[in-house]
Amino acid sequence: MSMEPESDRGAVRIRAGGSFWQNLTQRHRDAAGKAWARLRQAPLSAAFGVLLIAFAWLLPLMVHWLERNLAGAAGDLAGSHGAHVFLKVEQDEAAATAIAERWRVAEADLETRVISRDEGLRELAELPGFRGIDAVVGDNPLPVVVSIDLADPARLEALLDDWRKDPAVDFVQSDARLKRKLRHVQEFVAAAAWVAWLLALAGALLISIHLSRLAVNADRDEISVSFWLGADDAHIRRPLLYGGMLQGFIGASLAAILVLALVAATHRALVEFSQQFASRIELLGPDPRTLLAVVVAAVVLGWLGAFVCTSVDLGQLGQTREDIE
Amino acid sequence: MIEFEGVHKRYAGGQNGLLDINFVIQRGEMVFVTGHSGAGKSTLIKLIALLEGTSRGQVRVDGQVLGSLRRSAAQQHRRTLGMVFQDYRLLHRQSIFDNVALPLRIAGWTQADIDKRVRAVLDLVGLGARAFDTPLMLSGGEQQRVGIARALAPRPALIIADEPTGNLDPKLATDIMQLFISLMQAGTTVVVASHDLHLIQRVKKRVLVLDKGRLIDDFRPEPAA
Ligand SMILES: Nc1ncnc2c1ncn2[C@@H]1O[C@H](COP(=O)(O)OP(=O)(O)O)[C@@H](O)[C@H]1O
Ligand SMILES: [Mg+2]
Repeated sequence: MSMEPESDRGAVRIRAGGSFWQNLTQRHRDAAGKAWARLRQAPLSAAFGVLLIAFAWLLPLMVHWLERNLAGAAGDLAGSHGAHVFLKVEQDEAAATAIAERWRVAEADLETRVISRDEGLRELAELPGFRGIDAVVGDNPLPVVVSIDLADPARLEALLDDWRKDPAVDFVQSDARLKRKLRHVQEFVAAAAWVAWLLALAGALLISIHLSRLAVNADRDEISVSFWLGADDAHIRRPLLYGGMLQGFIGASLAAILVLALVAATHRALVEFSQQFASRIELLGPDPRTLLAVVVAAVVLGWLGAFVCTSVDLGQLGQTREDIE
Repeated sequence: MIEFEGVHKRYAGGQNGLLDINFVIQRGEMVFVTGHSGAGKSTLIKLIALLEGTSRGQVRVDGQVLGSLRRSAAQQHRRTLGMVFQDYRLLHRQSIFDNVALPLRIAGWTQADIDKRVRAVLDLVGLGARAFDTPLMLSGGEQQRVGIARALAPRPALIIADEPTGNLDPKLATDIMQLFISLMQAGTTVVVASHDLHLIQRVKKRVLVLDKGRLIDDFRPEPAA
């Protein structure tokens, strides 16, 4: 043991040197380092927290992906009108032309077009998912189809109901009805997406509050001692804020990676499946901007959760009154 | 520097910690607070560190009425003093180095300054070689010295120590007192709560004697012949 050296004596200096920026970056580096150390100190609970956040974001990301592909499908359908009437296979093109003419004459403004078997196969081969099918099918199995166009949808429905009873007709496919159904599905998915986003936002915030609270509890000793030694609220708060942002970031990134992996796997399965028909199916991936927005939102919510937690909890922890003995 | 004026401290449970305490400690003084167990020594120390508030009366440090300080000013006040806790209050999961560095990190020192200063104060209390052990690997006396090193680290103008030699053998206790005396000689105000009368007699500084919460004596022993 030795005496305090001359140069060290009695200084009143509380804050050591270093420029404003040096001190600022040091504080933030310390806080980020502490946040990281806290995660590593309890890897299991950190992993659990991160997984919770990832699951919170997974649902809306999946719904978003579904929504995007539905929108793509609706876009493909947007160009088509009216209906397609599939005739029984024994009806040849001449019979079909006669039937179509009979219908056209009976109804004003009705337009008909007979799609021959060859034409049908070619059209089919143009559709996404059936590309190249014309090359692999030997005997053309398609029926002759009458394509119908009528501006008045109510009138069209009534006509289609009549034609369904026609013995020459196999079945009727109403594009308008299909579009309507698709629109209903889209509306439903859009509503579900809203709910999923709201749930994820609330969930991520609550999880972050909870995780911050766990961090406060795990480090209660250090926080109390720091307060006794004169730490200000910002000093206690900073590592918790970084911790929240860090967990939000890792959680949301994990969710994004999971969604991308899931989409890739689905896509590969679909491609393999469709290759058996010598065609390609294109699925849209999730929008990268959405993924980025989710990561940013998760970071912000992680910060916010820690902020809320510390606003509530540090008031009590800052109470230094405690029996010293 | 430290003024107690009509200070009462009554704990929530109804126990009287201190009763009508009045005294003034000048800047640069070294003062012992003594008395039996339960006399109110720790209470007095806690009031100075603002770890407790007064029930009646005023505690002033450097003219500031502690009871009127806002939260951030109270935190600022705690940063300006070096507190040695009777039970050390070390962080068991952190190294000795990090324990001593804590007040410096709180005060925003740069890493380079922290490295230098922590090594210096650990050498000062004879624990330079233990920097990367954790507190539980140390004896009670060694932990106590870590607590002292932590209090000295930020070069506070005021050191308040609650039984800082309670777990030290007489030789080490005397060394620590010499350390406090050298700090005092350099201008630091030092307040030490201790029930070790032998130690107090040897050091021959001003003594405040508490008994059941009352200040019953305030004297300065004759300087050694
Ligand atoms: N946190 C507390 N709550 C209630 N009573 C307390 C508390 N701290 C101390 N006391 C009481 O205040 C009196 C003085 O205690 P203290 O200041 O710790 O004495 P000393 O440090 O001299 O032994 C004792 O009667 C003790 O029981
Ligand atoms: Mg005591």
